[in-house]
Amino acid sequence: MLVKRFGERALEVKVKKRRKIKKILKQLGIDLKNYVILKNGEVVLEEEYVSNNDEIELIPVASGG
Amino acid sequence: MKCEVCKKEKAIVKLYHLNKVIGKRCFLRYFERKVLREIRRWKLVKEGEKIVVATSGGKDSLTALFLMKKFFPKNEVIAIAINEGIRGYRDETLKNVRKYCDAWKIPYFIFSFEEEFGFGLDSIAREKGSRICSYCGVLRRYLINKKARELKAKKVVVGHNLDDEVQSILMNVFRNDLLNLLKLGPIAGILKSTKFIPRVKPLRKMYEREIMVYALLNGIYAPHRACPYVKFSYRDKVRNLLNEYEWENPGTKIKILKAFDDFFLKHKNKWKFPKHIPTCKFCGEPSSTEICKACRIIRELDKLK
Repeated sequence: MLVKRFGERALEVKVKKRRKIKKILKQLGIDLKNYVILKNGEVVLEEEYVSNNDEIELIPVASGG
Repeated sequence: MKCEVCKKEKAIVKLYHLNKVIGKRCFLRYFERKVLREIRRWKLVKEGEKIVVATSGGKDSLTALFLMKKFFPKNEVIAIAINEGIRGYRDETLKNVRKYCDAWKIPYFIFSFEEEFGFGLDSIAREKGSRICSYCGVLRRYLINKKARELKAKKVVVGHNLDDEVQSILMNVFRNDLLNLLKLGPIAGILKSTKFIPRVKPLRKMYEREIMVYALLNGIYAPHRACPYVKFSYRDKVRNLLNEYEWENPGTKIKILKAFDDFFLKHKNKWKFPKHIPTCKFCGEPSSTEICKACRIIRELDKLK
């Protein structure tokens, strides 16, 4: 699974079975309160399940006007 | 998870201050209704008025621009953007201004500090250090007002959100700056003048996160780097403080704004202000002092050359 964050290098994360986004990102040390989550281009909740083929993009909330 | 409003759609966003998860359709309706209610409550924009939207190319101002075009299709809407001369930052966000204004067929103008004042922000940043943000703000607002007036606009719409507004309220409380506190609100400023084009804030009740989601759902994708000078800003410290508190106590920001609206806005009219606004002896723009802040800055920077 690819985890993209604006301005940073994308991370390749191996997801063996379906897991919630928030658990994966917590393990990566990413603070979810600063981001809106896109899964394959769609806005989703942090409770959304993801698998190895998905692409996650984290859009920073505080990004100027 | 299902939307807690319609119980049918898949929930895609959590409104933390309401402790609700909500689907796409219900969210879009919630967002637009809340903005329209604010516009109507304070009469921020009227049908037929020529409006200028101050657009930086970020999600807030692009959302404001999108909504003005959507809510007021009969109004003439123009976007203006200011290039302060911050390399690697402003040139990036201005690409979004061009992209979305072209896509939405909205005429736009880009004015630069370099052309208008003879210098860009990067060239003075080294000398001015932590004061750079206040210089930027004064000159940017000066230019937006002047250009909006030249374009004969009746209102300037800005994309200030709930987070921005509450940060400003707290900053002025912390500094005991009552005058600047009273200048806040849905229509910025205290005194009226034909030279001041009223600056209105239709998004002032919307959380930054809500605006980001609304923007993404409407195909507005405009993430960008933070301004390189943000480290100098007092606002950044207040933002972090407020965000931490909001995260632990959801709804704090909207309650602060409500308290401000309930108290200060009611009492604003009771304060005595001079009826006549003097003008700057150099540029003729409205100014409470003999020389306006913008001219003082320009003269100060001229001396550095």
